[in-house]
Amino acid sequence: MDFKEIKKEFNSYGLLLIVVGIVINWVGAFIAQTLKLPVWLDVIGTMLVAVLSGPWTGAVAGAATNIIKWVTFDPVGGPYFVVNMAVGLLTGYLYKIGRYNKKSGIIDLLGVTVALALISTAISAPITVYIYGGVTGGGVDLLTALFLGTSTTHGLLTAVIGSELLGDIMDKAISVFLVFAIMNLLPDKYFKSETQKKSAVEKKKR
Amino acid sequence: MLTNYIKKDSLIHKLNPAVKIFLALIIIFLSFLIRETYKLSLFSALSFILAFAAKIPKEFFKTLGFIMTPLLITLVIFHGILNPAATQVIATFYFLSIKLDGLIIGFNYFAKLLSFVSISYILIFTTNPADLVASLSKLGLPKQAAFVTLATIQFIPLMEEKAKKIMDAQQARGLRIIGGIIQRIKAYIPLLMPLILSMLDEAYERSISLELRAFFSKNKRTFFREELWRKTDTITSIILAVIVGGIIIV
Repeated sequence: MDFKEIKKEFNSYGLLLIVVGIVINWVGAFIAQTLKLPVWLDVIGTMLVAVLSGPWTGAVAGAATNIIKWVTFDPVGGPYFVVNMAVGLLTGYLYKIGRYNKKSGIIDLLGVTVALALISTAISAPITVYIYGGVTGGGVDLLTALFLGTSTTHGLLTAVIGSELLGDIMDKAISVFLVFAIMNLLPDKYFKSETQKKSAVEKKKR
Repeated sequence: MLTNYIKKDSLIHKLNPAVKIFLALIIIFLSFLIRETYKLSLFSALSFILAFAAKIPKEFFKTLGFIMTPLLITLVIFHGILNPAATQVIATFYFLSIKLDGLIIGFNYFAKLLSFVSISYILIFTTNPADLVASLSKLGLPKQAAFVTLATIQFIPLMEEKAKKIMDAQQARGLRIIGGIIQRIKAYIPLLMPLILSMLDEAYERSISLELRAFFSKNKRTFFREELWRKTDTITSIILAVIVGGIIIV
């Protein structure tokens, strides 16, 4: 890992982007929680920050969102900060390797959705089962109850994985396409990597 | 609003934020480790006593009830009726049977949630966020993290104001925001994009002003808010340490 590169992400613009990301996440999560939707909507800001500034700022925005959410309206959200961090890191990485940017096509976008949904389910399902016993007070609980009630052979972990995967795919699809739409509306000056490239070119010219 | 701080004059409010942070972190950590229901309940009881000592019992129990009641209901349904691992049936209605060991598991999870939710509410209700951040940064929190925390608290009202302005502007251009539920959801899309874009604009401008004020200067900083360590802080932290230690051993 290149620590200098990571430190460069946390300049003043990166910090302010983290703030905006937290606010966007917080609003989305608040809407989803109050309406008891079976999605979380708490990674839109994380993904936006990860794309605009870099994976590590995205991860910090995600972790901070969960901690702030936890002290404001969602007392069970704390341990899930790992999930939000992973989403930030993965999105930033996918942007860096060029799978998820302004020009990516529909297949790339669907692939990004599936990758994000898989990683967040893989991390969040064990947390839900072993810390909370399967219940988190969100809309996904209804899905879990449905899976648990209709099948007699499967355990709690299977039911939680099933419901969270379903919820995660919906959630990540909404987030991926929304962030893609925002990316296409933004001028280049907001993308840190673009401005860095440009200034490097200008320096060479001089 | 983002902050739930309730201003009152009490012993708990005057306590140094560092004491409250450590207490909350220790109890949260322990409630993930401890499995016995009665020990977890004792931790919740400690938080309830602190709520009375902080003179905020009404707000505390109202918020706690609002958050914990749906969780209790779902946990009882999940583990008492649906959990396939439970076997001891105590009552049967038509095809649903309530199982005793499932109920015990459900209540154990509930006690775990209650113990760490109630202590975090004590911390939030009795500590001014600005004081919290100041004392955390004295304990070694990087200034970047302190800035992000406080700026987030500032940004939420700012965003509400912006959302109102954008809504007025779009209505002046003929956007219908009254009507059925689908009409209202549709109306949010032309509000969302300008809002996010203007927030990013704000962030860009603020980052320049942050640079201008030498935020990344490496000189030693002074603090506007001073939190003193008083004698009562020492006494209270010893008493709390004894209580928490006693609960672990019992």
